[in-house]
Amino acid sequence: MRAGLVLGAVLTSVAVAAALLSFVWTPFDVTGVSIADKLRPPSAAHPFGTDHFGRDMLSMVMVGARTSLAVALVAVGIGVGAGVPLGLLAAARGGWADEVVMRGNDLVFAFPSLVIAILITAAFGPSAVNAILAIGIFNIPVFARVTRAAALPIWTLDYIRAAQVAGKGRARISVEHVLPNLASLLIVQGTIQFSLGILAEAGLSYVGLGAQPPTPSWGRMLAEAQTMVTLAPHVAIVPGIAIVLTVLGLNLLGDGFRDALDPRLKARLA
Amino acid sequence: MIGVHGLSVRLHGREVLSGIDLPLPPGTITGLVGESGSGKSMTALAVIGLLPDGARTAGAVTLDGQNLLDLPETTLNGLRGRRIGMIFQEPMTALNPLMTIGDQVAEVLVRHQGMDRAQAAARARERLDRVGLPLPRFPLGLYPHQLSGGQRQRVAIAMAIALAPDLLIADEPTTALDVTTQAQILDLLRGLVRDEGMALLLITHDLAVVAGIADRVAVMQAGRIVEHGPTEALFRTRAHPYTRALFAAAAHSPNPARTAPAGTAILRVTDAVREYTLPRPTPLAPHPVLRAVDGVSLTIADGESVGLVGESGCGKSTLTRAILGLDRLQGGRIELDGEAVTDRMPARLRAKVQVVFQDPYGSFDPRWRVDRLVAEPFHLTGRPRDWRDRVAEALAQVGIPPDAMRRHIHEFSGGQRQRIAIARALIVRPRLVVLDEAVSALDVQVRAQVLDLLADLRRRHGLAWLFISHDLSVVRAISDRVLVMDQGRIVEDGTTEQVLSAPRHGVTRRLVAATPVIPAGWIA
Repeated sequence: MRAGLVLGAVLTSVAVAAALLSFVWTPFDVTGVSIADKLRPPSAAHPFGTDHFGRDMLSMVMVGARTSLAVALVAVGIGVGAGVPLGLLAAARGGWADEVVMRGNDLVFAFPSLVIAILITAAFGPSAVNAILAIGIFNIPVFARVTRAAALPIWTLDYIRAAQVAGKGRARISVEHVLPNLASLLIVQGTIQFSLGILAEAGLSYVGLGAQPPTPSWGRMLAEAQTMVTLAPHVAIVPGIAIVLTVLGLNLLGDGFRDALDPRLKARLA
Repeated sequence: MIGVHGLSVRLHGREVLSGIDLPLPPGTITGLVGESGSGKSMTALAVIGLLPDGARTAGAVTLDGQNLLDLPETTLNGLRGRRIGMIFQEPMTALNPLMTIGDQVAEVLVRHQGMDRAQAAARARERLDRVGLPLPRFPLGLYPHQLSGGQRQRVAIAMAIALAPDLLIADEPTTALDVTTQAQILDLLRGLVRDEGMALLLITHDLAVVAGIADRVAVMQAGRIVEHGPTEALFRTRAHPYTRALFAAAAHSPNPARTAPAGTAILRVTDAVREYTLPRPTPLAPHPVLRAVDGVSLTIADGESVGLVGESGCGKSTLTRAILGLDRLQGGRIELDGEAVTDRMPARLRAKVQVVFQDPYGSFDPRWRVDRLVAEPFHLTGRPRDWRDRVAEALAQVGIPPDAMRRHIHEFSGGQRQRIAIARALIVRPRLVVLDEAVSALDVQVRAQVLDLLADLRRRHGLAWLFISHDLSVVRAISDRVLVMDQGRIVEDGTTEQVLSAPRHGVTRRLVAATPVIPAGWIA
């Protein structure tokens, strides 16, 4: 239990620290091309080796973390920011509000997310910002649905009735009672969506619709590496492992947070 | 023949059962009584081999001379259901909602006896007939949601007895049911023991239930059986001090606060009607209408304590919701202190009525601390500057120490939570408090304390109570006047003594007759 939280926190902090550090310092300039040093395996000078332009992979991974984390974070933010209030509203009001929100959700869910993402980037041009929007929009129904499904049973409990007897309105009860009791669920869902966001950004960049060159991103690094996998496997392995470890760390962190934030579970763990 | 010999169970280094000796001879009913946490359910789980992980056992549970505690899990799986059956307290969750009742009973037969489907269905039919669910009203194809709580408990019993087990364990089988259904289920269990010659271990906290049905009684306290013997002899002698304490609590009646109620009415309900539209039975048929409250009129005077009793589904919960201003009426009106109660009534008016709910576990937000929980009704009046002192004072009144304020609700027992719920109801000094089955979930001793507390608070503050319950003994202990409700109407209204000793309406008579009592001679 605790070990998972610690490991998750360590992995996530390494990724975040690498991203932050890259703003002020990287071992090499990521735009510095040096064809003479191309596809070098890991060495003391280049711990992760170099790519086909001779750029330092460690520096690329650090700057790439910036793109991946930022895209995923903002996309989750969009999903939570719009989806959670919609889900709370649907559960609190029922009736037509519920119908409108949920049928709107069905509409978004009915389209394959990657296809819409491609459509958006095709219409507005490929860029990191459009990738964020595309991924974020598809997070909204996920959060709306999870929120509504978890809020409905809470609305039948006696403490909600007690709050109504205390004269509180539906909006206030949603914020004061329902939302805190959903928090653990939303944290877990948030970390899942965060990891999916990293993967989606990698996917979009892989097909050339995410971050544009020369901005490095883990997905583009993978995409560029695919023709050289047999030649220099480290070029694909390094960004791949970065994605796997970050996603793993986020999931462990989410699980750990859920347990640590619940007063009932906290008593049991102590 | 099954018996428990010197059974001890340690769980995480703590001894939860010590030296339990309990013979369970065929054809007899053994009552196991005690307060929550005394080890009643743990004993049952040990017998059926379902102890939690990490439990260490000593002693023996013998079946045909074999010690069940030594058997591997796979062998036990074969015995469970076949030789030992069990039914649980909550009939709403004991059945699989996606399987028909016929399939659920038949599954046991197919699994343990390798019957083919047709044979199993025929036998399931026969078992359902036996538990009082005959054709044509109860075909095998019904789903659990189409049945009432009592009917579901009958299905659970049919599953447990499908293979004619040697021992049936019933863990509080009637606690979640109303008194008339309880009486029917107890009759059924008694008949099954007589006809099928099995042993029944009945776990309950209700001494009156045991008095009416059990041949032998074992009293448990803190993991030990402190007294064990034939029911009548044990009830008459009460050799152990703990047994005496239990009986005193069960018979306890708080000092009545017979303050003469004032002439003014705090609550006046006139011709209240509340209807629900049900789903259409066929696509084009009109919506059927359920009239849950059908022309109810009642008055509660300032400072009066009124009991409202009725079977489940009689409309008392719906009426309660309307009185609290949570639901809108379709007809009639409700006046609180002369002003109309609606779902949009002003906070000033709403502060005059507060409520205590039945379930001490569901009534509090698990994420809030006690001080904030108790202070929640201040939303109606504005939070005074000295709100912390007011909360401490309200908690002190119900006997909860002030250091509770910074703790979460899961740190408290059921009885303590119910006290905190009462503190929350009283914090804005309402004129009327609705108690919705507020002591039903509590042990007898805790219940006696809470009833005392309620009587004391009423004396001090001159509050009016509306006490909603299906348990007549509780209503008798605390209310001046009783209203009996049936099918959405008030069918009887009179002083408590008058209604309970000389009931006029059929429903009241049924309720009074179904309430289990300890024979008067036994506890003289």
